[in-house]
Amino acid sequence: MKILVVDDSKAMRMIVTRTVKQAGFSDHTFIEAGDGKEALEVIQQQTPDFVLSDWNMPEMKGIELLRELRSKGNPIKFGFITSESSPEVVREALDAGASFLITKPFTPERFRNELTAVLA
Amino acid sequence: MLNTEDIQTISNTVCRDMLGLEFESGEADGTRMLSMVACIAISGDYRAVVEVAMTPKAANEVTTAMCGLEPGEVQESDVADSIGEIVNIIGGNIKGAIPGETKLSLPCVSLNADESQENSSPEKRQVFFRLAGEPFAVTLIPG
Amino acid sequence: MSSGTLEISSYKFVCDFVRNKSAIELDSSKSYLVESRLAPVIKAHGLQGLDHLVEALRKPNSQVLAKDVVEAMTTHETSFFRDINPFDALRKTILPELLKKRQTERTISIWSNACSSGQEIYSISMMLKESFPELAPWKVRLLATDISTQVIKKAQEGLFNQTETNRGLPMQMLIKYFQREGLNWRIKDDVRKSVEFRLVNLIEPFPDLPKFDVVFLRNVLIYFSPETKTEILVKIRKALKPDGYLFLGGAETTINLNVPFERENAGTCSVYRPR
Repeated sequence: MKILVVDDSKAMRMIVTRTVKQAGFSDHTFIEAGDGKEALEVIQQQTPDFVLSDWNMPEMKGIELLRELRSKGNPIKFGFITSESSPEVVREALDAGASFLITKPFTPERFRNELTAVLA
Repeated sequence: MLNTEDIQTISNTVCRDMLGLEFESGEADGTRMLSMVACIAISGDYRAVVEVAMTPKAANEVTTAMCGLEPGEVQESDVADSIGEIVNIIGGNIKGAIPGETKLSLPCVSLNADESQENSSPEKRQVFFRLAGEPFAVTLIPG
Repeated sequence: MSSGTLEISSYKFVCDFVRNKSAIELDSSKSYLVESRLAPVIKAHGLQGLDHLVEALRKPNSQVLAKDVVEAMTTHETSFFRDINPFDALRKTILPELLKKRQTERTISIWSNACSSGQEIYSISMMLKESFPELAPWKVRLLATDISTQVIKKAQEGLFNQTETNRGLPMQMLIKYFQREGLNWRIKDDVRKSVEFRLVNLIEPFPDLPKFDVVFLRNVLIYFSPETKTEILVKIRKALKPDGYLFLGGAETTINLNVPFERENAGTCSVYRPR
């Protein structure tokens, strides 16, 4: 399984990857992108199985990335990692077709539960 | 709205859950320059700037914990990235606790800030911590 | 808080103790973490410091202290939908089965033991609302018990901080079943009132309870000796319906215990059935 981690912060990409590995998914392949635009390219070239994306990014936000993918008919599984947890954000994400949202700060347990459900 | 205790709780939660680091309460220490600063703006129904400021040593501590690096491996870009992410998470959590429609900006970072331009707004909420013995401040400046 | 005052032998004892009870390894470089996390436990139990705590832990019948210590050191282990597997088993196999079997009496009862702040039973309650709306007209009894009055009080209040809600609870459930209160989230009344909380000490005779379809007894037996474990399991067997289900913690088994249960696979985890 190939997981794409999208975040404009390298530190965040590292911490997300590390936490997902700690959650028991260490034998998957992790690839990265620094914003939504780059993610679109990476998805086209490397066809990951799953996208974990930040919400707030320069050059195409996470929600725009997801909408772009869905408008092109790409059904790739998609989860958000955000520092905001308002009901509006959650509804926007789920309406656009996200499987889940994880709020920062997060724990491995949270990834374990969400990813187990999605990847099953 | 949010009081200093709330700011303290949010900052503590972020630091403990995200970095595995424990904040200790601290107090203002005029002798130490908090030259590493990251801030983020909340706009909309409520407007404020959230700022974290710390010494280079504290910033280094945050960066090694966040990136999983050894102290010697830390580069300036990692520090900017890490403290920017910290203010992003604290700002996001503050935004979430405020009613109404608000938006969060992208963080901005200065690794060589001049404290003489300090904001003296009476509504300012400021909390001081110690992180591995080093001073660290989180400030909410409404307006 | 003072630092570096931790006695090395006491520190090692706590690390070994936590590893034995929870299979969680404490990072030896973080003694200040151990100290800061144990400080409230030491205070709450009226002890005079870490050495005193270690001394108290060595005594028999120190289960409450042991539980507090392990919980303080492994706080991230208490969460909504903790170790998702039993909840999946409940949702995918056990509840659909019970729904058929209990067609006539139209009652279902679930008991969460050592319920702590209530995350387990509230998770079950939310899951029932979310996935089994057909249970609405049924008589559903959700019981949560713990040995500590304080803990029960906290659970009943249903108020959780950001760290607690961030653990294991899907966002869609958070916004549906909780409302914000400042920095915290309070579980809504319809979930809160679906649960009955009671004080039960597992090592004393149980109060008179109707028999249950499902019992959760997870990560509790680790605190007891094999003899006490056996006694508790025998009592739990009596509190279960003959075709009921018992969940133990992921790392717990009935191996080497002479108890009237049989292990069965339920999806990705084990469930114990009365023999």
